[in-house]
Amino acid sequence: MVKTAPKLSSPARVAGSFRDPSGFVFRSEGHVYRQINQRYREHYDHLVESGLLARLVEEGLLLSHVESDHPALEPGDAYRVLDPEQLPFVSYPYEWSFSQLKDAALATLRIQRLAVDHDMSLRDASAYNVQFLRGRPVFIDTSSFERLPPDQPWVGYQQFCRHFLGPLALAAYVDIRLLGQLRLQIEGIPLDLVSRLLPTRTRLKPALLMHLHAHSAAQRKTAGKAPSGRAASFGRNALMGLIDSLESAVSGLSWTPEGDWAKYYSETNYTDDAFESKHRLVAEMLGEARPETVWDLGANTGPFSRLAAQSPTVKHVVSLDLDPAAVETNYHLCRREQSENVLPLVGDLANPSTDLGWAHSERQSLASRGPADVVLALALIHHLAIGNNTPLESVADYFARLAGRLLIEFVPKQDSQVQRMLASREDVFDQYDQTGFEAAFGRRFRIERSEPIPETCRRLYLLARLG
Amino acid sequence: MTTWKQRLSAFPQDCGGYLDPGTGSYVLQMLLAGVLGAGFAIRSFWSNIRMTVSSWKRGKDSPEA
Repeated sequence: MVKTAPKLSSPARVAGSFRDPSGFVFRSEGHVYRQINQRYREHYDHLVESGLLARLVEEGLLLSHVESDHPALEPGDAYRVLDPEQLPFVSYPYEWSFSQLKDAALATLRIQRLAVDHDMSLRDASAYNVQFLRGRPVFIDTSSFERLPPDQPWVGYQQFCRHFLGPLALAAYVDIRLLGQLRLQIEGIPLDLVSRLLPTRTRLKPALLMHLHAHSAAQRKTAGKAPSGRAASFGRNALMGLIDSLESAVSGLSWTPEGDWAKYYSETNYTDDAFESKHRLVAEMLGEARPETVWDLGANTGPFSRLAAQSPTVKHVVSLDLDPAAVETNYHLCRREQSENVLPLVGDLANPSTDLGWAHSERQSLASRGPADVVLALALIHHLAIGNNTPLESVADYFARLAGRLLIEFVPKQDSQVQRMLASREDVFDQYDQTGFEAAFGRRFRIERSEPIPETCRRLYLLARLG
Repeated sequence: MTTWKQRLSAFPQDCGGYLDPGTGSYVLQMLLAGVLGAGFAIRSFWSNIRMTVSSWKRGKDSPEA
């Protein structure tokens, strides 16, 4: 099927799409396209003709596309231009919870299994090839498939272990916070580091022994050695056995949240009535703002993200929290409640995702992926202003970069949560009161509505960015 | 039949893409090929047996049988 494209203006490559000569992704008038190059023609045709493409799209494992008549960005090399379904938000593995990374790993292995069934194989196993769409992991790189090379091992094996299995094992056996290493090691966590950090008892698990510890040892023993070029045999049964073994290794890893934050909404100082009032006010203000995209910052387990997702105009909600336990719970709740347009992510606003990788542009910062129509900042301001000593003016400046409207809850010093934060430290926050808050945010925003939250000393504001 | 030494020194002529698969990762897979292949073959065999038995049972339990 060929779709007529919109008018072309200033198209450019997506910055992170430069490694694979088979094709690349480019953006034209805000729309993302994929160029397939001539050198990938045979593989692309087989992907289509073998039925693998249709099967993967049918199972929701691969981003769907139509072949487009949009001009290629580099016409000399072009074979096809694809118009893929557009993603509402691009997230990165270092922003995912444990189960998101695990689901992405299992989806990658399922895709590889189906690919082998269709005489194809994944040429890589990068976690960056997976995105979350409608609450589920979906593979986005249509040019990652190649005709199955006869009798050869899986070229993506090392990458799969570095991007998925190693980080998941570290999170399950050592500490969930080690998933944050993926932000430092964007090519995946080196297996020698994984092997060194894992406890000795993981050597008793055959799959972890094989794919992590022995894998690391094999890399060490062959480091700097040139390949011999001798032909070798790695049959289809071995390849399927490898997929089975990796699937079993990933499936066997688990992590259960135990953090206090995951219980936050059942243990706060909100009464049921106060919570209900806040719920109603947030819904009303969202109804007035009529956003399509909402970023819920400091979302905890996401109750207000899921509320926002039900607002008639809202198409997509990013639900960000710094606590991996809260995000893990949020992800499971979204799956259970079928809140498909909510994307829970791990992120620390005091140290948000930055531009990373080659030329600072392979992976985008949080702010670069905006702006959202509305930022929700509920029960957050005291964590930034008091917990992180961030001046209110600076918080207002940053939020003005992230969204056109801000739905924010002011939590004064009288609040028990703030009292607790101040109990063990000197109160140096002279400007932290309602007047100071309104003055600081008034530099950047206009107050559209302001309401006290009944039975609390907190206040909810709907603010619109100036200019 | 390939020897262990041959397997250890084995490397594909064509890695099929832009990604460096890593010599150690290839060597390990070659070393494990027999175990992985045999494991898959055994699982497939038992899976086929189970499917045959269950379809035979279904046929036996159906009203037409």
